[in-house]
Amino acid sequence: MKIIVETPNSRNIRISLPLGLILNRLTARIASKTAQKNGETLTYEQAYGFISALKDFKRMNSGWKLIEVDSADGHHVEITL
Amino acid sequence: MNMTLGKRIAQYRKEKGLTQEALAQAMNVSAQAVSKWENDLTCPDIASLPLLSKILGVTVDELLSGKSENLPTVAMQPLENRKAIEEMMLRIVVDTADGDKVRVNLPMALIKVAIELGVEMPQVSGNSALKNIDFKQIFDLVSHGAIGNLVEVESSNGDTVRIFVE
Repeated sequence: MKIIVETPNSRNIRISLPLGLILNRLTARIASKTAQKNGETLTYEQAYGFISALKDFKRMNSGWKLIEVDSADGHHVEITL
Repeated sequence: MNMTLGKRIAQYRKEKGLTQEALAQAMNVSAQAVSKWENDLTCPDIASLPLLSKILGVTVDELLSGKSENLPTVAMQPLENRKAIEEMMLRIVVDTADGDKVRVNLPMALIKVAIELGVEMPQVSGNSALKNIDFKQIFDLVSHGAIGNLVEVESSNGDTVRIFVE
C-alpha cells in the first residue's frame, strides 16, 4: 500500500507499507477493539474477513487507487493498494 | 471552473488509475507525448480522439468541452450483458465549491464482502462522507443490473456528489 501526501510547499511524503504488515490478525483485533471502544459494532471476525478480502483484491489489482483527494489549497493525498 | 484539455486528460487518466506510460502504450504514442498533452504543450491528433476518449471512459465531447452532461446515466443491463460484480467498481466523486476534490474508487467485490460480513462502510473507511450512503441499497441495485450514475446531488452551496457504478 502506498500513501502519498504532497503539499504546496513541496514537503512531500511517500510511504510504502507492506499490506501484510498493516493488515493482519493483530491489526484486525486492534481495529475491532478500537471500534468497540468508540461504540461501534465491529467484531474481530468482521475486521479480519474484510482484511482478507482486501488482501485478495490487492493480489489481483495491485496499484488500485482507492482514494485521491486534491484540496483547493494545493494538498494532494493518494492511497494506492 | 475552466479546465484545459490537457488538465482534463490528466484528470480522466488519474480517475481511471492509469499512469502516463500506460496511457501512452494504449495510445501507441510515447509517454513524453502524453506528458506534453497534459501540460498543454501539444494537443492529441484529432484522429486519435475517439480512441483516447474510449480509453479514458468519456465521450469525445466531454473530453473536448469538459461538459459532463453525458455522464453515464442509469441503465439496467440485461442479464447476458452484465459484468460479474467482482469486476465492477463504485466511484464516489465529491467536488466542493471551495475547489476540493475527493475521488473514492471502491471495488464492488469489497463492498459485497463488507455487506456479507455486516460491516458498515464508515467503520472500515473512517470516511464520514460515506456515512449516509446505503451501500446495501446500491449493491442491490447493481446486482439487479443497474449501472451508471446512481446518485447525483448538487447542493445549494455548489458542492456536488456523484456516485456511479461501472
